[in-house]
Amino acid sequence: MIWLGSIFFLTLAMGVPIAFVLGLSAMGYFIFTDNLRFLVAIPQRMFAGQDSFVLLAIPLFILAGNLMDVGGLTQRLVGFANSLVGRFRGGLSLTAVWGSFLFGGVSGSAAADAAALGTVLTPDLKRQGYHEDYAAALIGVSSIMAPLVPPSIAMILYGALSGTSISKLFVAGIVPGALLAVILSAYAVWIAGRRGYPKLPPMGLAEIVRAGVNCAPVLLLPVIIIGGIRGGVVTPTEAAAVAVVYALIVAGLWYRALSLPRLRRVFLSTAMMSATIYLLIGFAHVLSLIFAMERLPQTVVTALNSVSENKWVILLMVNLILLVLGMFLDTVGILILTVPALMAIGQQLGMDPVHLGVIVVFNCLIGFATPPVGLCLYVMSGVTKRPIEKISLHALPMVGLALVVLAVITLFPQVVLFLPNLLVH
Amino acid sequence: MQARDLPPPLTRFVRGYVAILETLLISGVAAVVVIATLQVFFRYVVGASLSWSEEALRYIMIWITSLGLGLAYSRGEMIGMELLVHLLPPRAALVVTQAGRVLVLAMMLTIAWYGWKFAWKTRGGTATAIPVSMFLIHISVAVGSLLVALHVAATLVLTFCRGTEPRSTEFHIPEIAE
Amino acid sequence: QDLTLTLGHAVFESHPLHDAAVRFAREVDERSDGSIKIDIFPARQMGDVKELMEGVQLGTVDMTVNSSSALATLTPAVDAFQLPYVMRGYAEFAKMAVSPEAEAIMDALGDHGMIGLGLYEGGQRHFLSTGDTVTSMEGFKGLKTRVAPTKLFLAVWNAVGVNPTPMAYGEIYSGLETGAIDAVEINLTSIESEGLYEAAHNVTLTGHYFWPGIMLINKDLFEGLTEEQQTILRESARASVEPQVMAVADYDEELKDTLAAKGVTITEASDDFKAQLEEAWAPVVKSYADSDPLIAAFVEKAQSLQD
Ligand code: NA
Ligand code: NA
Repeated sequence: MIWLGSIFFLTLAMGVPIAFVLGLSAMGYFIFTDNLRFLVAIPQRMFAGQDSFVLLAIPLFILAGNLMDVGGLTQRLVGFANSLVGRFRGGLSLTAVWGSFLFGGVSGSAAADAAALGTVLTPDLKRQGYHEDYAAALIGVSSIMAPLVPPSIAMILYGALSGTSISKLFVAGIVPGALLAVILSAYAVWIAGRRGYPKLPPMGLAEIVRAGVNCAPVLLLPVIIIGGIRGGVVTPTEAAAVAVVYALIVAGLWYRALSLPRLRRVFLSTAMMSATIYLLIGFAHVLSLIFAMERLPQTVVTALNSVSENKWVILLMVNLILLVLGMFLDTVGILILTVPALMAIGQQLGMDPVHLGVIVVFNCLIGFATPPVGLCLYVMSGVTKRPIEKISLHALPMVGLALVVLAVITLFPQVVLFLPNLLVH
Repeated sequence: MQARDLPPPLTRFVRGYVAILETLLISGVAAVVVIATLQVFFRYVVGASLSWSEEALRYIMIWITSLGLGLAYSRGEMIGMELLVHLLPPRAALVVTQAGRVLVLAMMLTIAWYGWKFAWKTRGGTATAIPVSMFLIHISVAVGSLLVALHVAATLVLTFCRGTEPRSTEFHIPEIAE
Repeated sequence: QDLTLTLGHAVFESHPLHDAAVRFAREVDERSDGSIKIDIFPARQMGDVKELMEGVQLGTVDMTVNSSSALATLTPAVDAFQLPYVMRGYAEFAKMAVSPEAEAIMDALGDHGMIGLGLYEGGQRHFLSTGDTVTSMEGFKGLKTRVAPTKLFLAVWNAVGVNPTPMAYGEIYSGLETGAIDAVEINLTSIESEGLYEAAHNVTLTGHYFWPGIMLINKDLFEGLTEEQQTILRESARASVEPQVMAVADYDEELKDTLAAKGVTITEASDDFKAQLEEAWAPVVKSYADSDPLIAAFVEKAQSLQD
């Protein structure tokens, strides 16, 4: 394990893409521990890790989100959010927060959310006098709500790895996502008050209704997904296929925004994004074989228990470990590496696997907004062409607020569980 | 791998290669959408579930991954933690990044070789529901690794020849359509 | 200790096939005076069914005890072990498992780099449904029934008029719960361990086929062992078959009470119903027996035991 760890951190520091870091660690382990006969297990396990029906929901939800985005959906969502919250102090920054929340209903990934809203909103925010780094940080941190609102790639992955009901996980993310939106809104209003950011002209009920109708098909998508799974019509993977067909119809026939070249581009970028995630899943599945051979989950549980037997202390340690991992790794990587050990811990603590799943996913998502490797901050840096360090600095207080939400959902399971228990099962 | 850096015959070759890969990837994603939709349709509307769709979907997606990885690499879809590297002086940063690429290249070639062995040793099996030899499905890992190796090697060589780290946007294979 | 063999399998520790691994390991330990150790990695730690099978082929996993249906993609004769109503009870299965006809089929796995040491049992299969209890052929009509999508199972279930629906094992619970499927053909152990009784309440004891597991070892590894070690492994496997199979039979009886206490209606299939099923399946059995002399020999031997 020393070899594995050294190669992992060395290649990570060298800037090698994360998927290859996992692969090199595994290969180095087999070579340096004189287990050359296991080299053939690398392609075999890569294949096996990718060979899953449940995971197919990932490319399909990516495609649905991409289709909705080129369909001009983001502007419509922004318009709707504006009509609702624009009238308050810092109106446009509130639009960023709630637009992000709404966009989560069609997007399964935080990076897609950041890219879509960042492109649409940062020019306007800048024009209205918002500090550009603050605006970028706000959108970057808000985008982590996307995987909390169904659909969600992170939830699918956790469900697939732990055998937890994906429909329950989907529903369980909604309240934590809304809590984050509320707390970020409060922060945005406070900042706006201090810096004198403007309100937007209030809109009348008719305008709100018009804006709502304009993006109604989008707001319906999560309802269709949850309803379809709950009603026994589809499995989560099939729900993703239905979402794609729905997105094709909405973007093509309703918004009339699909052309053949656009479709081509969307399908291609879906293939690339999915391939990248699948490679990560494949390499992580190789690593999980090593963890099994080394009986790592048991070791981790024993180690945690040796520190304390108190449920809350153990959960605090779990949260800290995940947050540290989140600084360096992305969600897919963290989930694949840690879920086996986490399930063992959860079982020992008698935790509901849905509750545990939301805590774990929330931790990973915070990682999207923490330096040095915060994917969403990187996306915003790319969109705004501002240095990542400056954006990270502005993101820090918001990350602190996200930690408050994390503490709330860790300490009060009912916040997470009452909605799925009400709607599912 | 920018077209202008290459002699004309090579440019034509690269364009053809990209066109073929893109077409395969787009068809693959389209097939996934169609088959997954058919699966729902046949179970609920026709009342006769498809036996082959689930397996076909899984294997198509794995082939999409294999064929898409090389392109994804060159288009900068794979992100690493570049923070520490950026703290180094430019020359040293370049050396470290190139060293990382050499490691990745060596790894992908090794995986391609063992991927071949894996497919060959399991060639006696057939898929469960579709009449296809597992060799044709398992070989995807070797093919994908070779493609990544190819793209990493191209990046390595181009960077070496220029002596500077290319910007990630530069590493775009030119779009054929539009 | 001279030799440690890793044995991975894909089931939880409450499953009969884990019991097979444990019994085998104990026999090996006794017969080798502790010089051979079997290191068991349960519950998919070393991978799922397909990965374990490949692992044994490739030599990255020394041993596994794995569902035989997965091996049918390599050696079609393995389907013999799951032809419906060819073996009726656990005692008959235990006898057939150590028969020369069964060994001939397992020997055919040698072409794929594996040696089959023994044939165990994971639990006879029955019919669990969410709607009315199925007591006649009419009851099957159009039921969306989860089956593993192999050629054999599709043939078997199409023959009785259900709508065979492939679905991942882990999705069965939510499939039954939400109505994505109406029924599943499954063993009592899984109904209990997966909590399926919460989602579906009616079991018909059809006992249509068994769910055997084959104890596999990598061929090169096995052939590199001393003759004495080979004998110990083979004899340990053989000796643990009968007690393992009969333990499953006892466990099934126990489970009937456990499940009934949890509100599951358990109905024995009537002789008349079973006769109709046998008639519906006879052409399937015949076509498989005709396709492979190894299957034909196995079927003939099994039927001779019934008479
Ligand atoms: Na979402
Ligand atoms: Na981070």
